[in-house]
Amino acid sequence: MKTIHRLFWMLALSAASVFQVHAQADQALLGQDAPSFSLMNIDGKMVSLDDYQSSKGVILIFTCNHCPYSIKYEDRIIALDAKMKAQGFPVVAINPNDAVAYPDDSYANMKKRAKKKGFTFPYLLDDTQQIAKAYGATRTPHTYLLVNESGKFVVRYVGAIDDNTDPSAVSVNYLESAVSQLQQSQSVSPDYTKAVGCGIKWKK
Amino acid sequence: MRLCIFLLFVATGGLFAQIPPKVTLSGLNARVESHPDTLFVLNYWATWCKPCVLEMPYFEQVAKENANRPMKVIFVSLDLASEYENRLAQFLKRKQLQCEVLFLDEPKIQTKIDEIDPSWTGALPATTFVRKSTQTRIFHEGDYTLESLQSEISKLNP
Repeated sequence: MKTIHRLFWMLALSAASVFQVHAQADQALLGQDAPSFSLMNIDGKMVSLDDYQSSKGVILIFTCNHCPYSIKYEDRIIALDAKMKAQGFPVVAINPNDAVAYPDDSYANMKKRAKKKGFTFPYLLDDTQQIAKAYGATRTPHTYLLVNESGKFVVRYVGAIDDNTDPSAVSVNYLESAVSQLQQSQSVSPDYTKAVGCGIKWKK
Repeated sequence: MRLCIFLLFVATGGLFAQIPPKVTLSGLNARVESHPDTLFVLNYWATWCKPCVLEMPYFEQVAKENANRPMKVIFVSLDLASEYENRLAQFLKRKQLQCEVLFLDEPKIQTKIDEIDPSWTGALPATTFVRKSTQTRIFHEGDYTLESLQSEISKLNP
């Protein structure tokens, strides 16, 4: 009987580890410490996660210039920053794309795009793509809600900003809802969503 | 005379635009189910997705190479609905693809990504290889080289 018991637990554990392998890298970050970063902003200054110690959290968005899905979300990201910054959750945007593959996503073009759209948040260049990899980001836009829990940033939501690329057809604002749940000391649900986006172009 | 103009319009219409048929995910699935012995290669793409467009000739090539086998390559467009009639149609007119093209008619696609494949993160391009009779189902996120695509297919089409 004991052997059967042991066998059962061994099977259960191996099934769990198989599941772990199949879980997405971005999803695996939920509840974990947010990877730290220090990247060049469009104004030439470095911005790091630790600079946000006095805020309640950070809305981290991997995005870029060329991707039509990112472009569809630009106005919503600006609005999100205005609304959420006031609640202690400012936006930080990171461009992870290889500018050789997409010249539109070069540092010079990031500056131009930010100026043209009037970005109110830092727009950082992940030149080595190490930060996108650390976060398991695969597409643009790809969003992470980082919550300051006694000085440590913890990932509490991963995925889409809302449920439709077409702003007039949105029915659920996932990210806003996650922040409001946190403000009411509730756990975030859903804490993981997906969205169609442009695959991040990795350097070869 | 009016008939002539009409006929001329119909005859040349195809040259000006190529609007692909629309399909839902369940429609696509029904198609796969109804041809159990066919290996379906469903390539999810969009006109704005550079790596997608770059790998299209490879899919056309493997379709040609496997023409005498029960294999069907379908380019499933995830272009935005607002670009269906102009950008997508213009692109298809320019490219003159040999393989079938369908437009994915799923306005709520963001909530249906797992239906295409649970392991898909949503990044384009993505490809599914599916054949009902052999319970084949392979999903690949990211682009292919011609060699890697040929090798994938030769494993499934021995």
